[in-house]
Amino acid sequence: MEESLLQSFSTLPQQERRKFLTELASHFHPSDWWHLDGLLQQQTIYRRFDIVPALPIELAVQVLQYLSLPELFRNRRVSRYWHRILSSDAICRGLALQRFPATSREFILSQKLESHSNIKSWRHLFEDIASRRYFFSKGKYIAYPQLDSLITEFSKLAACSHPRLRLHQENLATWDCRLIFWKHQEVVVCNLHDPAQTMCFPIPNREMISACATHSEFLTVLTSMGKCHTFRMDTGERRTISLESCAYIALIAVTSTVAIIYPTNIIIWEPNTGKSWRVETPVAELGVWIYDLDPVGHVISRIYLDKTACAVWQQQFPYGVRAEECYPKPWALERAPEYPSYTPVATANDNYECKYDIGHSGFCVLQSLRKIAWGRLFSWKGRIMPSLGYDYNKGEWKVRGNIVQNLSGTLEREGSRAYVLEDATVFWSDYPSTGGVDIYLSDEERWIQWEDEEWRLPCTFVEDMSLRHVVILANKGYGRNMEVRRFMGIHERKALEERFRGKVEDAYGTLLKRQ
Amino acid sequence: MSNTQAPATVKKLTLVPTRLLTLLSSDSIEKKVARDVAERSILIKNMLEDCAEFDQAIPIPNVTSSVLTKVIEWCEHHKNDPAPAADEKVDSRKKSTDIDEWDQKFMQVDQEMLFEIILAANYLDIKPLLDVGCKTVANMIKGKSPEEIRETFNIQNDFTPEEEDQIRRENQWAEE
Repeated sequence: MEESLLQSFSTLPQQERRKFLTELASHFHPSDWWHLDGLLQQQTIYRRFDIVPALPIELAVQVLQYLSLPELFRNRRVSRYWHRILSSDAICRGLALQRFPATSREFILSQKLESHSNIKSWRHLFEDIASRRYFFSKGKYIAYPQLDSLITEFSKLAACSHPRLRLHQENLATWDCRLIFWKHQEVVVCNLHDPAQTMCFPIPNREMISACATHSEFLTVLTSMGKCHTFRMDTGERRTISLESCAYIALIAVTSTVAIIYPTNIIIWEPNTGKSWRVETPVAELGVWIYDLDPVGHVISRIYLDKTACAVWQQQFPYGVRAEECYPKPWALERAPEYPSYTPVATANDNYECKYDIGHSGFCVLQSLRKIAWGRLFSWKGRIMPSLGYDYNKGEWKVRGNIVQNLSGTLEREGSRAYVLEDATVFWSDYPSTGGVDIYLSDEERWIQWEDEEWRLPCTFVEDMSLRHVVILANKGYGRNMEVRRFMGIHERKALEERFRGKVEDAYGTLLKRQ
Repeated sequence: MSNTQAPATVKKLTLVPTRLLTLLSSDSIEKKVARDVAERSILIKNMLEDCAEFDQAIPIPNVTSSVLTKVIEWCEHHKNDPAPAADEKVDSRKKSTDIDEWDQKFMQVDQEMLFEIILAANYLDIKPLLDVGCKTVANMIKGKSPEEIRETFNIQNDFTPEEEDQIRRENQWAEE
């Protein structure tokens, strides 16, 4: 009987077998189940094993690196063991260092310095940055209530002195989490980490301010009288040099060095030592220049973009070496590959037709900061062309081949900028005509888009290594308004909620709901 | 390791490229393997560089014979792969979890074996194999709900519903 039963079972089709087995299982006695369990244990193919928590920490981190941020948190629900592993300080440390190296280094430093940091542990830190990055990628922000009074003041000022919205941005600069705005004879520097530390710097001699920048502990102001004032923000001490003219192109300030760019030369000024240099630069007839100042190696670079060629000039000026000794040195010139040699890129959606139609293209030059300079080329035909950039560190040109969005209508992309942050490069292009913001996160190698109604306003990104603040210049009703939007991790948000409980609960509660 | 020794090793390799080595697994089973295959393991490679002659069996104390057989099989297949670039570690995160077909088949083993292979690759310092192993595990987790992960690895949900709900609420943002 056994023989024939087995015989007929082995000849059954798959479905019938399953059915039979299911039927059979319903007749099992508990001891039969135990026996079956033993049999399954012997079957190595089906042997299952909880691999992840059993791995040494560094290997577990290596596995977890392939998971998305939300997955790393969602999977804490798998079991107690997984929860313990995924929320352990050791794993969180590994993951934080891997995904957010700059913020993690800052954290290590702050631990050593025993500073006032609210972050208690690696777990706390990783949860905070991961959730912040998630909210950032979704464009979910919190408005910043502490700045209300300042904003109102600025809005009034902006409304009366500048009729056009575009001009707002000229009166507003952001750097390293500081929001700077200026009226006729006064610069206001607001620290977004701690708005209580807002400071005002009066400009002497009723000079009109034409540009401002903060760099580490300095504030540098250029005026219409051709003066360059540098204040120490802690003491208010001021140092001034007279410039040859006020027809400068750009002001770059990094750590304790200031560079003022003129069409044919650059003035480099170190307020700390009081030294200044004048550097001749090759003359550019056409095209657009972008400049970068490297704070560590003291390399000044400029990128030249035009219709036919793209080049980088670099010049080094060793720290503390007098100008006469190192200049004039020839600018090293490196040409970019010819445009037509770029292969057409794969598109997110194959409906796009992609060509490097330089003849009909306008180009938009993005800000160059720190390590990478990026230029972004746009076609006028409603397509975003790939970004072109020069990586100073690696000394190579890069083309980002992603086409993000088909834009119909006219491109009004004067506001496009790139921010090179430590943890991610953010390409920022806001397009008021169609609404929304494009952002490229270099560390995750992906584009994100904020298309909500709230983002259809001109935005300025506050440079901050951890993607925290966005300043919005909005046209609201009759007056113009400014708003600071902030991305917060879960712990930071909790702390803020506690701090403001009772005071702004009503007004703020509605804002919090957006996240 | 040192620069002075390096030329000697190169010379030796060109003279006897396919010399056989003997590896001794933790359960005292000997495996014969060609030197260039064994040198996929940086640990063995460094060991051989340090000692000019290696006539005895090389003990691999952390790896059992069945795992060692698998690892050698992988090294055989990949013996002609170019050496990984020095800066690969930096870029590895950016790579996807794609695994080539042969490796995928190779990794179709039970989960305990997969675990052992990862540990062995780590111990023997065979970075590409370690990567493949980690990616294989990551692929088993990726895109799955916690429920599906429990099923994949036969994990008991030892949370009470209240506890699980509590954790879900703590990480609400990740659950959307």
